[in-house]
Amino acid sequence: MLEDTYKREMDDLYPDGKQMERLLAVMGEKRCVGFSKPLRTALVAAAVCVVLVTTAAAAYLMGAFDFLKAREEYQFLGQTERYERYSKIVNLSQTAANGDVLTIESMALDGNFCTLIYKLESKEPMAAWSDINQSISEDAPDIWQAMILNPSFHIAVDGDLPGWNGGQQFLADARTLYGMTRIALERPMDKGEHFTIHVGPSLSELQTDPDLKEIESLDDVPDKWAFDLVADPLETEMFQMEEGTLTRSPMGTVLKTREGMLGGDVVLRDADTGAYIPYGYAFNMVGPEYILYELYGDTSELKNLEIIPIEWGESYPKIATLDELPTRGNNAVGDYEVSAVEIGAEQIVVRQRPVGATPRGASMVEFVDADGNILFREDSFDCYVSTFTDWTDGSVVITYSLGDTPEGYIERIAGVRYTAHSYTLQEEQAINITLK
Amino acid sequence: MENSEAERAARAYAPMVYRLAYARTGNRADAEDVMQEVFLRLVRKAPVFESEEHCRNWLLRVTVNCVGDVFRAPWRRHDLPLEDMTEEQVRETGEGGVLDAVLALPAQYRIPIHLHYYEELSVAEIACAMGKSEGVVKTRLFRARAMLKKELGGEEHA
Repeated sequence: MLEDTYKREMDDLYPDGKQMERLLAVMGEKRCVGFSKPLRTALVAAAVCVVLVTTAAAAYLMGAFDFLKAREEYQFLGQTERYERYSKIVNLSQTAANGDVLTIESMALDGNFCTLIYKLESKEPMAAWSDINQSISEDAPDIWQAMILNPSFHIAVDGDLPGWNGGQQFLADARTLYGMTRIALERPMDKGEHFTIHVGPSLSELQTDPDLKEIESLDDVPDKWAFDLVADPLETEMFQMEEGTLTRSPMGTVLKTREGMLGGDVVLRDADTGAYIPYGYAFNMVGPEYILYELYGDTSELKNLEIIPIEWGESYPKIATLDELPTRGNNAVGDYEVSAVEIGAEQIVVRQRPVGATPRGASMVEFVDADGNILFREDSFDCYVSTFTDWTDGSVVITYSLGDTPEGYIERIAGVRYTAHSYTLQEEQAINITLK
Repeated sequence: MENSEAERAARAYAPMVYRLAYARTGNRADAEDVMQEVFLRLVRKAPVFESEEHCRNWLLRVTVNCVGDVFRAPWRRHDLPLEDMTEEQVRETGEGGVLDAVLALPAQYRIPIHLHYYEELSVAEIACAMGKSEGVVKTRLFRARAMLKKELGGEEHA
């Protein structure tokens, strides 16, 4: 049959690993890759080997960090205090061959992640996303304009230390980029261990620089900068278990398992207090077969962790007026609730928080008018949505940055529409983990 | 939609989007461009999905729209018509099989035939994805199958 033949032929066609890598990179999940060939460094300044100076003085955290923490969309906004307390000053600048200057201002290093705050000063104006991809407006928010302008960061310790990085960056002006990147570590580094942060060009440069455009594999991309450092990580506890590992430091707690090890979706609970622990998860942060669960809230006293599978019931759309906030579905054991909606002329902010057992992140929220019509969905004007989770408690902030909306359109917002979920806990299948 | 959800959707549906884009463009580079644009729109618009089916249908609809945009974009790279392809390029596309015959159809017939043959969508579902009436979809499927039958010379199965 034609269909069968067509299917067989089409089955051979799919995005390959590199294409998926590029896709995830432009979506904001930027993979850190190893450099298999000898490094063709383009450094002007020699790499400097320094022992990081521990300090808790927030006054030193100037520049990029001040910029970031002033932003509503900053991913680590809820962790500002923790970061100021535990991060270490780096303040190293290097100038690349093309004149671009990268300054790593500070670093938070524990057994799970290496988080860097940096500032990039470009000699030439950087191409905003709207210059590259005409599907967004030149008036799009700076976080969108900076979408693929971040340099690619990669850590090496006696060879590659595979891991992914994600992060955020903002285009402050055409020549200044402020950003943070968080690199998931495949293994913890020891105190005193030497490591190198390799920094390559941005995806934007890879797409537009004539010399870089010809490079087919990300493995062949040369460094623009490289910083030699000595590790002084925060003390990190590691608990080995059949299902994986759980690591805990002052910067957070991470459960690492092989994909599928925990079955389907789960909720986490402190077995001693009975308190549910909201979490987020990421695929493939430290290898294609792993899932990282980041536990939110204060887990410093956690001694016994319960992992409880859930069974999904129906999901259904729910509409609530602004007067009815906070609102959530009627699931007995918990869910995220929409707690607040702040409506401004240029931006709408929706806040959600976890209530009870939550096996997943918050749902997206749409807006409806008094007649229940969904707003913004089929509009012809711009709306840019960004979602950020505060790890200190699992609350979620969604910002909707608006372009030019027709007069009176914002005033039509009378309520919210979201998907409510039903699920039950499969207590008999719960796994208990003692952290010792 | 949180980043992890968007990534999950990308991993689950990128092949579907890529294949649909390829069926329309006949070009891997364009298919990748479309795929990136589709998932960026997913991140950007962050629509609320009531179900996996809803997510899948949304992605199909947006892919159809983005494929159209590719052909309207002034910066689109120039593509070789099939007859000008090198041997290697022809091999890449499936070497003279049904896929090539589909790619040789006039542009407006490729998407409905792909959605029907590969994704096994009903006429109503294809109409929804394409933003066309069921009548238009039925007509295009009928004509596409007739052209394939003529091109391939075999018995046609609806």
